[in-house]
Amino acid sequence: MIKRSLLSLFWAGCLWLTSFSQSFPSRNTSLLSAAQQSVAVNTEASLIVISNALPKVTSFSDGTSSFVEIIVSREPDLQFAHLGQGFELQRVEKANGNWVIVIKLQPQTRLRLEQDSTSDHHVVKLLFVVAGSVGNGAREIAPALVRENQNPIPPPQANVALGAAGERLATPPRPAGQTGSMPVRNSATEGELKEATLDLSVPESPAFTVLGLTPQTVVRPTSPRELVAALLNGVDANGNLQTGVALETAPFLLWHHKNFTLEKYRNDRLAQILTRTQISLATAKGTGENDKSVRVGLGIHTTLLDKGDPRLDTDLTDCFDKYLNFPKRNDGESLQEYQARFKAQFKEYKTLAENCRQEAKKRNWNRTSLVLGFAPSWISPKGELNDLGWNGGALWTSFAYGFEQSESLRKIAQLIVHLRYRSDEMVPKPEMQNQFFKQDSLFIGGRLRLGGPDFAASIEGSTIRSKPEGKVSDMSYRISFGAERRIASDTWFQVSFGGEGGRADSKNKPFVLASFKYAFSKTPTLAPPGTN
Amino acid sequence: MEVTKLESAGAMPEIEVIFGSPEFGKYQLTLWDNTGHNPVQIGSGVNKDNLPDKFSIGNLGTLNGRLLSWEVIIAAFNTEPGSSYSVTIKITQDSEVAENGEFEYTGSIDGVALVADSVELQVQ
Repeated sequence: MIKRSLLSLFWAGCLWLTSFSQSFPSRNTSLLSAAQQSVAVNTEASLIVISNALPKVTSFSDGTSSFVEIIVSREPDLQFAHLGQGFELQRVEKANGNWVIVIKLQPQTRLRLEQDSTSDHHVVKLLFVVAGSVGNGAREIAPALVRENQNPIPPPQANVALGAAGERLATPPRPAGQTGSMPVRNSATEGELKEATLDLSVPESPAFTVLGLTPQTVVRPTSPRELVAALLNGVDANGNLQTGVALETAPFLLWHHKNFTLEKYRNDRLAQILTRTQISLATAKGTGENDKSVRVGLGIHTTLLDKGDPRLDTDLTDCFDKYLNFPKRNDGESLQEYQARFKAQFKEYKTLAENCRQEAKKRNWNRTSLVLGFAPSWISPKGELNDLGWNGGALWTSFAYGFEQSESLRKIAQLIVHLRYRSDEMVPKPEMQNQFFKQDSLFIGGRLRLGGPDFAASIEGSTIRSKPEGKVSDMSYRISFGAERRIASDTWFQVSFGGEGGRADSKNKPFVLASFKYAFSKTPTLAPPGTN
Repeated sequence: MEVTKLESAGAMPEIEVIFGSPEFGKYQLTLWDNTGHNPVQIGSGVNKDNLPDKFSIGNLGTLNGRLLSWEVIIAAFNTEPGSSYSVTIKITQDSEVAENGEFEYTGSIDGVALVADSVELQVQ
């Protein structure tokens, strides 16, 4: 059965590959016209969002249905094909200065995502494929396929309440959270996303995550004075909490940004921890439309151990020193001319430095580390500072082991163990709008990952225990194996299978997923960063 | 252009580069004639070593009216938003900062940050 399924998908993939050049927009043609042409020949239901601002795409679930939300700061041009086949347009509205488009996926619909940009336009193309049909090779909107430098699908930090669905690759860490009016988000759509890799990362901004936010603007003070000003902006003169506050800072560097040298950092273990400790603070309005309550989240993210700390990587320092050189002076050149020429090399320096950092990532991708995140939250029913009450919290921790002692494994293997606990989380009631219940949950997951330039594999497992208020607790588990192999320079063949059990909703099932992937970047999905 | 005043009766002036953030830093220091030509490098270095980043500028008798410049490259080890840098240039004489002899540069790093500046030396 499995073999037959794989062969079918392999054949479908081959067919797709042969027609690839016709269906994929050329990089050299106008992006706008390429997108329009693609719709004209495409019989799949689709939505194209074109804007001269970069759209942000997130997906989430309310427990029964899956949604996609697109936020863009400029008025977008929307183009539909076969509206109603696989998706419904829920709303298009302008909110807080942004255009928000929300789409509801119909059952059994898979979502695929294409994105591209020119200097003038950004295009997001959503393709809605009824399960069982073969897509045209666009990127599937699954956490496993979310890649660095692409528009982020936020990590499903809230998914503990809803099961293990949709957890994404743990690396690289990225600012976390969700956005919009719904308080609890699951970044996964249903179905295929359950086969995605687990999210074993600690959110970099736990305060945003615990409140379910993806702030459009985050204040990052660069001085103690700016920090105090930002905090004061969070409360008005009458003690009323202001919503929409999103603040993040590394307090140690804030106070020591003029006298904390690289040498001091390298020789002081405590200072290393303090430097890599970030505080985040956020406020958000209550969950209902007429709800006057204000929620406040405070987050701490700290790296207690990191054998791949780039500041301790002398090879990285040497690389900077080797490639970041001052231009040679020309005969007769004046001081002004020379300094102008030096400043004009900014982009070149930036590229060279980034190359050094990427090389360092390749060296250090799997080094042993221990990261901790903690986020208590409070709620004020009247939105006042003096009536804040406890509103639950969250704890995340990830330990990665890099097999540094093993010559054969230290460059290709990583073992990650992750734990997160969430208390008093507000979870949407299935099929009931703006209705929530409280839940505590504990997630424990682990992954062993092996990666090379042309092959990557991972095995992972997780268990979730959730305890809704006033109900008995539920415990489920999940185990999966995934592998992918490069079959052409930009094409990877992926296969994953596994199963889950113990779910109270009796939706336990094994799964097998095989696919070809053409990625915008030439990197594998499962492989660790830097191994290609 | 800023003017840094030096005491003609004082000791030989020095220039020091201080990196105040744990990022990579590299610099060069150059003395020019009063027209901004004929450069002479008086120092260079990186912050990865333990070598002092302090250099003698030259004999007071030859400095009046000349231009002193510095160029600095700062590279961030991480590229998370919010990374910042701090570089301070101090021109000292007799272990004291000369009049108008301290220059501080801070800001956020977009992968790298560049600093390029200069002063005119005035011996009085």
